[in-house]
Amino acid sequence: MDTVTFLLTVVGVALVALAIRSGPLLLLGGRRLPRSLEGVLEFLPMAALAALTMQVLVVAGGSLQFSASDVRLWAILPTAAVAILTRSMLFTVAVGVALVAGLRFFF
Amino acid sequence: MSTSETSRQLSRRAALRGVVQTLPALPAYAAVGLAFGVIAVDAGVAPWLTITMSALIYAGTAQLAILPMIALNVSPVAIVATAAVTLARYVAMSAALASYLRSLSRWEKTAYGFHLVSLNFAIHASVLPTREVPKAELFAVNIATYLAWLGATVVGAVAGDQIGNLDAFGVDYAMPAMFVAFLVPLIRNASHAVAAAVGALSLVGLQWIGAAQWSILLAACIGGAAGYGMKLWTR
Repeated sequence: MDTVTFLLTVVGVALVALAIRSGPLLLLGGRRLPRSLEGVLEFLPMAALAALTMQVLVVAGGSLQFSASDVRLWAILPTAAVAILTRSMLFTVAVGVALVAGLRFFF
Repeated sequence: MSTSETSRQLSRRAALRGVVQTLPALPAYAAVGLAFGVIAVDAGVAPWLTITMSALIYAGTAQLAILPMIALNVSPVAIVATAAVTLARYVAMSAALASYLRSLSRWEKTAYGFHLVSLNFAIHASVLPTREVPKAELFAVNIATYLAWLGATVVGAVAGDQIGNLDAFGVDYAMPAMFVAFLVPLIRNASHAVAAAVGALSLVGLQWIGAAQWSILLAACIGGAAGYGMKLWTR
């Protein structure tokens, strides 16, 4: 992706992020969101983040690539366990990276 | 004259109170911004563009979501749509604060929304229902966390650019680890877990049948629908 396209994409994401976060403040006042909208929106972020995680782990160069020798796949469950136990972004990333570095060193 | 002096002093004290509220969480928050800087540069984004992302977007999940899609040459429209989906939870946060922030002007509301990140929401959602919060305090919180995020991104991007490729040390795994760390706190019941699991499996299935461009967004919608269906079914 060339620089101009990337910059325009960033501006697009910025505008959408602003609309999502400012919109309800500007439009709702004190009213609540419609129940059905709230219900649907509730489940999108976790599905998107799970899909993005898979994307990073098993897609390379636009096609599915997974093999048992990819230590990142073995590290994902311990990483999730650390995230569940510590609830710390920092600790999760640090332990995950150290684990993958260690596995790469030994295997 | 003296009254304006007093009001200025008052708002200065309110602003200070706002900054103090952010301090306990600020080091960990800045560390995430720093990690984002390193990860983005490692993913091939130029340092100045990485810093631009933090300056203009200012939403960790959306900034991170862009990275896996650049390498794939996903169309900008699909990237914007996917980033929007990761931010869906902010609609509820913004709506939850709307009644407390009714007295702000239109521009102030827009500025507040730009700064609405999880940390600021957590601080304000605990304070706003209990007392009248002066504007200076409200925006001091937001500006302090924004500057911490931006400053940390600058340090991370420049450092990441200096040290070069560190994949042998697992740096390429920082991105999926951060996605997992964003994901885990969102899962609070079985329906949320179903949404995540179906989202992950759908991505693999969609990639397998060759839906590269829109696979992440589609997987998110399928997973989201599955989670919502599960909620309706078990109610």
